[in-house]
Amino acid sequence: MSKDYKQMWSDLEINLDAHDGLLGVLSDAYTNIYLSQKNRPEGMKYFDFVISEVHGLRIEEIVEVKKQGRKVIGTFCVYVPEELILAVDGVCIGLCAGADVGTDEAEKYIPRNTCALIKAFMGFKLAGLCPYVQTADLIVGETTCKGL
Amino acid sequence: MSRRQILLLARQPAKAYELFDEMTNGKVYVMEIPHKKGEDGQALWRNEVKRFSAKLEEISGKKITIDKLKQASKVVNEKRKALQRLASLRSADPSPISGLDALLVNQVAFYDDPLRFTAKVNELCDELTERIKSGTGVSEKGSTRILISGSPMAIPNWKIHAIVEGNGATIVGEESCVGERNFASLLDENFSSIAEGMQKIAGRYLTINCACFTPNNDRLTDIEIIAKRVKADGILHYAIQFCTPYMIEATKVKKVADKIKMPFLRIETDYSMEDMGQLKTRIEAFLEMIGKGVKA
Repeated sequence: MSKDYKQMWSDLEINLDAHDGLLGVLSDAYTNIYLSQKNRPEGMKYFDFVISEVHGLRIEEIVEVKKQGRKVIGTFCVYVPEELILAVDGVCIGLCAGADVGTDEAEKYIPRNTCALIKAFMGFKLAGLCPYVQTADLIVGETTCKGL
Repeated sequence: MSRRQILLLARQPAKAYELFDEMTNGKVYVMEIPHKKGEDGQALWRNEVKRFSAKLEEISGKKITIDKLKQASKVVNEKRKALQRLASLRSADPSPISGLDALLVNQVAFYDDPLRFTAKVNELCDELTERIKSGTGVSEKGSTRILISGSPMAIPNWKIHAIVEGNGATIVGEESCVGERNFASLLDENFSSIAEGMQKIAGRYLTINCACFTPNNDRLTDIEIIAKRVKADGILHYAIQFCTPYMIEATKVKKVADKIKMPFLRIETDYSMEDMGQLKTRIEAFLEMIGKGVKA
């Protein structure tokens, strides 16, 4: 990341040391999986940049819009009507998580044989590693599957 | 085992949100999704959408106006169209973009600013259009094309795409919530009142064919259509371990694959690296069989 976001993360109650570890692992994985590909379209540079700033610039933008009084709505499944969120000038953020983070913490609350996606979003929150959850004013879950 | 017995088995208590609500000091708001899409289910969801709009107005202190609703509808539809465009460009042989890259774009869709995101996806698509004209692809023409179908792959879940594409094949589509099920259906923007708009919104979202619904035959039809559109050589069904609805529905997806004589591989896995070796072996074997023209 280009800037020092420590103060922002600290204000959001992020576990700073563990978070540095997470960002390091993510960066390595991205380099190995994505940046090693040959012949990528130039247009992917924007998305590489977004990933490099995944907990940085986007969070900073969100923190700024919250200061303007706009609300951040975290969502899980794709049934939450994004149009309604935008119609109240809200920011819609998907909170589904795709990595084993905070699994030990999550398994204190939910069974081991729960799907990885559910364990992941809980784990991220419990381990203090998700700035997106921290910025959310409302978190919307739909009763899609029964695990949720 | 009867269908009802299977569904009851799949019915673990819906408790994760309750716990998450405590963990987030009361921020969780639950919307009740019906499990069937008949009249009663549609009515339930319309009510839930209305209730949600009231909640949004309450917490934001802003009223939803017809202008704001129309403007918002356009923004989200433009995002969907951009993602549809990306999806359709992957039908070219060779695909101008890798499955890994397309998956990433679909994952970023869930948290980037929608206007900026849409503009960037369209820029990318302009470039991919040029690539197709010049025959530039990420792999050789004629390399194996795989459609992935099943549970969503939330960021940074890149596991299966990395294995498949590490073997020289290309993933040319995702029939998943981080993929086709997210953007396939546009909202009908022709409404002249908020009430009408909300009804259309509710209706549009219930067209999404998650395995949580019963029956879910439209998903099977979608898979057949998408497989043909992206010129898939094989279907890889992906279920997150313990994701019972998708694990069970895989059997039906296999029947579709068999019907259209499409090689089919069924994977159940989690996020860990524990089963990487086993997955690589199975996926390699699957791709080899396709390459030799042998059905799985």
